Amino acid sequence: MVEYNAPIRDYEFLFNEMFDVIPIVQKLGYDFDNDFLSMLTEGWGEHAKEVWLPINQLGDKKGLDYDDGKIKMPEEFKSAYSESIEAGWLSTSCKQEHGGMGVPIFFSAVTWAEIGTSTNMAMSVLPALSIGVYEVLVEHGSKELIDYFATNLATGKWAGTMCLTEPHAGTDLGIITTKAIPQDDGSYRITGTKIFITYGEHDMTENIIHLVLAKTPGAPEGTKGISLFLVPKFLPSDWVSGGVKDLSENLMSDDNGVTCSGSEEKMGIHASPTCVMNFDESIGWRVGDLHNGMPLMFQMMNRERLATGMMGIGLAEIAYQNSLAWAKERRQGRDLKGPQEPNESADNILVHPDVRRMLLEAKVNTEGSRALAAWTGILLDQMHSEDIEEAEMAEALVALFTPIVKAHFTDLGCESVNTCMQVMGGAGYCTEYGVEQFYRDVRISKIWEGTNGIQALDLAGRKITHNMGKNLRYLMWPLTEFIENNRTIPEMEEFNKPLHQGVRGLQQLTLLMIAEGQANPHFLAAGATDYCRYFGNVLLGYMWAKMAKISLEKSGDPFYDAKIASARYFFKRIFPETAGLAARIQSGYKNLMDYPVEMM
Amino acid sequence: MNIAVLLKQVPDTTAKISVSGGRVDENSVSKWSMSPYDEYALEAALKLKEAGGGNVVAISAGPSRCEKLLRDAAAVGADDLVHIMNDDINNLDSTQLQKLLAAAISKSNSSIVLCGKQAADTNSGSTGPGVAEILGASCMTMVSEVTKDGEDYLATRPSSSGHEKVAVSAPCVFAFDKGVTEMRRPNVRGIMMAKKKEIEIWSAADLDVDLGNSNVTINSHSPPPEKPPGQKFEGADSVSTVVAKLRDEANVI
Repeated sequence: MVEYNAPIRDYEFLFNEMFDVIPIVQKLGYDFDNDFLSMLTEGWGEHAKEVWLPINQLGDKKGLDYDDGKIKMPEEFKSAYSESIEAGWLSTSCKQEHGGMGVPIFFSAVTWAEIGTSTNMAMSVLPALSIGVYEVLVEHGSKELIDYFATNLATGKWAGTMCLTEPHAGTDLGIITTKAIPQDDGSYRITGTKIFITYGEHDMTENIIHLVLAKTPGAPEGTKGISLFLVPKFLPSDWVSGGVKDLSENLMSDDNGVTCSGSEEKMGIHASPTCVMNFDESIGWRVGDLHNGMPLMFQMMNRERLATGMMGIGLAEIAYQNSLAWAKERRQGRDLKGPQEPNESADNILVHPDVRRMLLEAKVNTEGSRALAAWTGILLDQMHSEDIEEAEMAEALVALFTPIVKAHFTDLGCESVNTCMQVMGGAGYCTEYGVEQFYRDVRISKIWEGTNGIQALDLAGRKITHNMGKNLRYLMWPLTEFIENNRTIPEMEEFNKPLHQGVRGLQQLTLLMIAEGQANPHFLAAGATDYCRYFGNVLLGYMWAKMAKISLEKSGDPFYDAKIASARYFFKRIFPETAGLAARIQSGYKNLMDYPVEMM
Repeated sequence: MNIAVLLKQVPDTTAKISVSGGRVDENSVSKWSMSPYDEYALEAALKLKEAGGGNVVAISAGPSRCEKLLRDAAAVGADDLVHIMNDDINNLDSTQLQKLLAAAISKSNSSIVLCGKQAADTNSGSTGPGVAEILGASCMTMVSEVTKDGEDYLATRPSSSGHEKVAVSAPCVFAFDKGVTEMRRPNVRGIMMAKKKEIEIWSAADLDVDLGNSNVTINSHSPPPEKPPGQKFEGADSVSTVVAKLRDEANVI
C-alpha cells in the first residue's frame, strides 16, 4: 500500500515565509491571497491523493492497449481524468476567458506539477503537455486558431502534444525531413513521421492537437528553416463556425491523415503512451512566423523542462515518504553503541547511521530542490511583469535555472528514489511497496526534453555567457549580498562560509570554462556535466542557507529545527562533493578524448 | 428557511500543541482545521440543500483566522458565511458562546441547525444542546444522517438495537457523530467562488447579545502525560502473556 501526503507545510514555508509570494503576484495584478493559495494547495493535494494515486499502480500493471493504430487507456484513467477536468484541476494557470482559473503560474508549474507527478506520473504528463501547447498557441497563434483551439485545450477537453523527434533526428533537429506544403487557403499540408511522441494517440480526450516542427519548400538548411504547425487529429465538423476563413471545403471531414503506427514498450510510465506518429498530407496551420519554429517550440520545451525537473522532486518525495514509513516499522540489528530497545528482538533500523544517511540524502536534496523550484516558479510569473527591470531579471534567471532544474533535479530525483529503494532492502525491489515503480518511472526524466548532458552543454556553452553574462549577474547580485549580510552572524557561519567558498569556486570554474572552452570546445563539453552539478550544488546551498536563516529565528519548533538540521546535513555531507567536481572539471578533456577509441 | 451549520476551527490533528505559561500557545499551532465532526455536519447540510431546502449558512465564532475555515466551507458549497468575530473566544464560557451562536442562527433566518457532537480540541459536547435550549428547538445528538421527509426531518442515530430513524420537525438542532459520508472535496471553481464570497462579520453588539461575565475561569492548561511506550509480542509463546495483560492490566477481556 503506497502512502502519500502532499508536502503542504513545506510549500507554505517556501511561498509564505521564504519568498513572500503574495505581494509579488498581487503587484502583477493577481487577486490572490494566502488563504486562497492554501486552499488550492490543500485541495489539489487531496484530489491527487484520492483520485490519481489509487490508480497509479494499476496503470503501471495494466498499461495501455495498442491495436491497429488506436490506443485504449485504462478505463480508470479515463474516469479520473474526467473527474479532474470537471473539478477544474487541469487548467489552473490558463486564462479565465478560455475557461481556465487564472491562477498565478507558480502554482501550476511547481505545486501542481510536483503533487501530480508524485501521485501519478503517467497521468500528469498529459495535462502538462496540453497546457504547454495552450501557452504557445495563445502567445503566438492567430486569433482564429486561438478562438477555436484555446478553450478546449485549457479545459482539458482536448489534449496537446509536441512533435519534434524523427527517426534520424533527435538532438539534431536541423536535419528533420517533415514537410509542410503551403495551400492557397492559408493552411499547410504536413507530411512526415515523428517518434517518441508522448500521448500522441489515446482515447482520454475527443481530439488531440499536435504542435509539429516541419520545413516548408525552399526553407533554409538547419534549424533556421524550421517552422511550427498546429495539426489536429480530427478536423471538427463545426470548424466553419470556429472562425477560420476560407477553409470550408476541406474541413467537414473528421479524418486529418494523422495516424499512430506504434507504441513503444518502456521501462516505466506504462500508462503514458509513447507513439510513432505519421502525418500524411495532414491539414495544419502555421503558428508564429515562417522559419521561426524553433524558438516557439523551445518556449514550450523550456516549460516542459521545468516540469520534468519537478518529476525528479515528485518521485523522490513519494519514494522518501514510503521508505521512511517502512523504516520506522523495520527492526534489524542493534545500535552499534548498544541496544536502544532491549525488550525488542532488534532495534529499529533508524539507529543505523547508514540508513539515516540514505533517508536524509533523499529528504535534504528533495527539500532543497523544492525551494529552488519555488523561486523559479515565481520568476515565471515575474517574467510577465510590466516593470521592465523585473521582467528582465526574471527572464534571465529562468533561462539560467532551466537546465539546472531539469538536469540536477532529475539526477537527484533518480539518485533519491534509488537510495530509498536501498533503505527498504528486498522489500524495495518488490512490486507491492511501490518504490520499484517510482524507480522505473523517474528514470525517463533524465532523458526526455533534452538529455541531462544536453542541459549541461546548454548551461555551460550558452546560458552563462548569454546576454553578455547578464543571466549570471542577476544571480550573483542577491547571492553575494546574502553572503555579505550574514558574514558577521555567528549562527550562520556554518552555512555561510561553505556557501561563500562554493560561490568563489563557481566563479573561478565559470571563468575557466569560458576561457578554455573558447580555445577548445572539447574542454567545455568534457566538464559541462560536472559544472552543471557544481552549479546545482551552489544554488541548493543558497536555498539551504536562506532556509536556515529563517529557521534560526524560529528555533524551538520541530519544523524549523528540522530545517536547521537539514541545512547542516547539506553543507556537511552533500556540498563537499563540489571539491571533487571541481577537480574533474580541471582535469580537462584529454583523459576522455585521447582514450584509444578502438579499445572502448 | 435556511440551514445553519456551526463550524469550529481547531488545531489540526497533526499539529503539535505546546503549553507555555499554563496556557496553550496558539502561536505555536502550525495548522488550523475544521473540527472533524463539523465536517460531517457540513456535508449533511449540503445534502439537505441539494435535496431542495434553503441556503446553507456556515457560522463560526473566533478570531480572524476563522475566515479560512469559512472559505473552506464555501469552497464545498456553503452559500452564506457568518463570522462572529471574537478574539477572546477561549475565555468565553460555553453559555456565552452558545448565546452568540443562537443569536447568529436566528439572524440568519435558519430553521434547522447542524453541528458536530463535540469539538476536537475541548470535546465538551455542549454546543448543540446549549444552542437548542436557547433557541427553544428540539435537539438530536449522535446523528449520522438527516434527510427531509415532507415538512419533517428524518434523523438516524444509534439505538440499543442498532440504529433508529427519528422524525422531528423544525426548529431542531442536529449534533453529528461520524456521518455516513465524508465531506466532499473542493474543486477549483468552488475555491475561486469561495475566495470572492462576502463574509458577514458580526460582533456581540451586532447580534444584540449581552455576554455578561464568564462563569468559568480556566486556571491553567497542562499537556497530557506522556504515553508509556507500547509493548510488542511475537510468536505463539507469548499468547498467554498477552492474554493475561489484556485481562489483568488493560481490562479489555
